[in-house]
Amino acid sequence: MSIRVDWHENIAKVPPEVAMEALWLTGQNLITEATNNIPLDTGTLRRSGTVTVGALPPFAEVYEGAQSEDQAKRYEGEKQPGSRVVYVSYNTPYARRLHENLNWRPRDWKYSRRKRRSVKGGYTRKSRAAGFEGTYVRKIPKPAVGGPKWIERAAPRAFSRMDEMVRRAKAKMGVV
Amino acid sequence: MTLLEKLHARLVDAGIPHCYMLSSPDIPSCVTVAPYNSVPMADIPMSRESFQVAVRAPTYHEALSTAWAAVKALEYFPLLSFRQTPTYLGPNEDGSAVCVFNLDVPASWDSHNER
Repeated sequence: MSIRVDWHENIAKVPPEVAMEALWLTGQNLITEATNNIPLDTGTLRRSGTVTVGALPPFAEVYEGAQSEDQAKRYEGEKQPGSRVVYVSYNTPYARRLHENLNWRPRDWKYSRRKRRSVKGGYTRKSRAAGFEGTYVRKIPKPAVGGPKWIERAAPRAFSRMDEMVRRAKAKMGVV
Repeated sequence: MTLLEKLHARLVDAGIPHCYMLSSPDIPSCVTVAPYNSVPMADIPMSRESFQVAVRAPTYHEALSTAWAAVKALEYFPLLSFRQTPTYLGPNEDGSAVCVFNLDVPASWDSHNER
């Protein structure tokens, strides 16, 4: 086995707390970059991406939260003293399988049924004349997007912005 | 010979049965090696080529042991580095077990045109 080390000279020269902030910002940027490549159905997988310092997040907690809210910044500010590791993780039971399965392809365009805001407005004159009653729904196409390896595909772009993130971290923490 | 073909040849030479490149037929046991990423290195005409080796087998133990045999077959491939050891992905749609591991190989841009 071997370990790959990428040496970022600019980040090696700044104080550790600034370096950790820069890494956290890079993690957030990686999530942003990766978003459009993540398989989409209900959006839970996209919302389950989170950045943590020092340890991976509690999986079940993030998965539950991701059902309704974006979790990317859930652990902002929670930094373990002395830690020098930043994790970017997606926390659903199927994340690993979708990320690693190279044969996975987005399914064809899927139509979801969604209620129209104005039920009255949904009826055509003809259907009203025919006495149609019931809840009006219309089919809304959902895009077929995403694919495997979304983290690895986004990582080079995110890492290329490391210098910018160091500058942002310095400005945020008041370091010249 | 492309890098993919070289990796595939290593696996075949090591006696791993049913080895395929890029995709595999619908059979119970097989090993598939496929490229998935290529990242240019800074300042030099080289790139880091990423490959995935996926092993499908009827049982978890068979999948894992075949995956480790593949790791051992590729262990001394020049400049190759493993991203992780064989990882169980869970059962497939048809109930078979799937183990995967990923690896990187640095390659010069010239070598991509070698035949």
